[in-house]
Amino acid sequence: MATVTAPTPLINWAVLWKVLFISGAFAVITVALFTIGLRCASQFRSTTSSALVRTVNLLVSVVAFAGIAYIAYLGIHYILSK
Amino acid sequence: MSSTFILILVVAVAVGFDFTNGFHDTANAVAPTIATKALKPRTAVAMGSVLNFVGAFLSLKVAATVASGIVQQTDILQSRNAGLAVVFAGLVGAIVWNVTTWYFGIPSSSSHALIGGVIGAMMAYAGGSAVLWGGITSKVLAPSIAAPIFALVIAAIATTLSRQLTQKADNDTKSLGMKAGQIGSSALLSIAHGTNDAQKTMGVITLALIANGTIGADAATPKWVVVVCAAAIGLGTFIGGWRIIRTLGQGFTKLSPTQGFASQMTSSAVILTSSHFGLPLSTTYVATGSILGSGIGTKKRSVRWSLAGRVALSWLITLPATGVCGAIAFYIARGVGYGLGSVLTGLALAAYASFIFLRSRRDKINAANVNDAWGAHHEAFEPTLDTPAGA
Repeated sequence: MATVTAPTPLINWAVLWKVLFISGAFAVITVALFTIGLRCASQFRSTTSSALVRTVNLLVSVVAFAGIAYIAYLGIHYILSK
Repeated sequence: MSSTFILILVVAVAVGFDFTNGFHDTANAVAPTIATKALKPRTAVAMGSVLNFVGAFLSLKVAATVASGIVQQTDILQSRNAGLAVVFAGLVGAIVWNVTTWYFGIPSSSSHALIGGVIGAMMAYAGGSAVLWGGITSKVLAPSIAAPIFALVIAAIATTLSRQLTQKADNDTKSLGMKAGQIGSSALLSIAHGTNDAQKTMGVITLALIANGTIGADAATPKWVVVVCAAAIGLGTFIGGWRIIRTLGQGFTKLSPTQGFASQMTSSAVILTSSHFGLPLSTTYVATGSILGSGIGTKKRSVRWSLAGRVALSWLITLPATGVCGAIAFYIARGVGYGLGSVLTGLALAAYASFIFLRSRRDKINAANVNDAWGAHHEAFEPTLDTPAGA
C-alpha cells in the first residue's frame, strides 16, 4: 500500500512563531535587565537615600549587569560556535 | 574568450558586490549609535568595519549552502560559460540595485538583490522551471514579510518597557548607560552581519569556481576567497553608506539612547535567533523594523510613516527589479557572446556606478553632516525633495 506524504508547507509557521517568541523574550529580558541595572545604579548614586536602600540598589544593579554579561557571553559564544 | 577569463570577471564583480554590500549595510549596525551620538560617526563606522572583517572568518556554513534553495544547480552546471554568465548577470543586477538604492538613501536588502538578480538571470537562461519557487517562498518571501513585523513589535515592547522603568532614573546616568549598551549591541550586530553577509559572496565565488571546474563540486571555500571577501566587506563598511545611515538614524524617528539600545538589542536578538533556526532574514529589514518599533514605543509614537511606506514599496520591487536587471545582463552576455558580452556588461556597470557616484557629489552626505535634521538635504523620495529646509 502506497504511503501518502503531506507536501512540505511553503511557510513554516512553527519556526516563525519560535523566532518571534524566543527573540522577543531575549530582547525584552536583556533590555529590562539593563534598564533595571541602570535605574538601580542611578538610585545608588543618589545621596538622599538611606544606606540600606542604596545597598539594595547596588546589589540589584550588580545582579542585573551580571545577567547582561551572561547574555552577551551566550550571544558571542553562539556566533563563534556557528 | 576562455571560461577562465569570464571567471576572473565574475570574481571581480562578486568582490565589487561584496564592497557595495558593506557600505550599503553599514547603517544596519551603526545608524542608531551615530544618531544618538553614542560614538562619533567615523569611530562607529571603523568599529563596524573591523567587526565585519572579523565576522567574515567565523563561519563558512552559509557559503557552502548559498543558492542551494533558490535555483537548480544542475542547470547552472550544464554549460561552463553559460553558468558563469548566470552568476555574473545576477551580480550585475544586485550591484545596480545596491548603488541605486544607496543614492536615494533607501535601506533595502543586498541579499534579496543578489537572489533576485540570480533568479532573473537563471530564468533568462533556462526558464522558470529552473527556479525553486517553493524555496523562494519559504526562504525569502515569508521571512521578508515576517522579519520587519517581528522586529517592530518586539522593539516597541522593549522601548515602552525601558521608558517606563527609567522614568525615575537621572538623565545623565540613563543616557550614559544606554549609550554604552548601544556600543555593545552595535558590536554584536556588526559581527553577526559580517558572518552572514560576507559568506553570501564567498558562496557565489565558490559556485563560480565549481561551474568553471577550478575546484570540485564538494570542495570547501578556498582560503583566498574568504580573505578577499572579508577585506571587501570590511572596506565597504569603512567607506560608510552615509545616505542610508542618515535615513535609518534620522529619517524614521528621532532616536534617543533608550530607543537606540532597544532597537539594536531587538535586531541582534531577531537576527541571531532566526539564524539559529536556519531562517535567512534580511538584516536591513530587521534593523528598519526595530527602529520603527522604537519610534512607536515612545510617548508621542512619532514615526514618519510616509517614508516607511516608500521604503516598504522599494522592498516589494527589489526581487522583480533585480530580476529584470539580471535577465537583461544575461541576454546581453549571451547575445554578444559570453566573453565579450560579459566585458561590455561589466563596462556598462562601471559607467553606471560612476555616474551615480558623481550625481551623489551634488548633495554630499558624510560623517560631518549625517546627523543634520531630517529635511536639510535632498532626502529619499521625500515630498521635500526640492524644498530647502526652512522654506
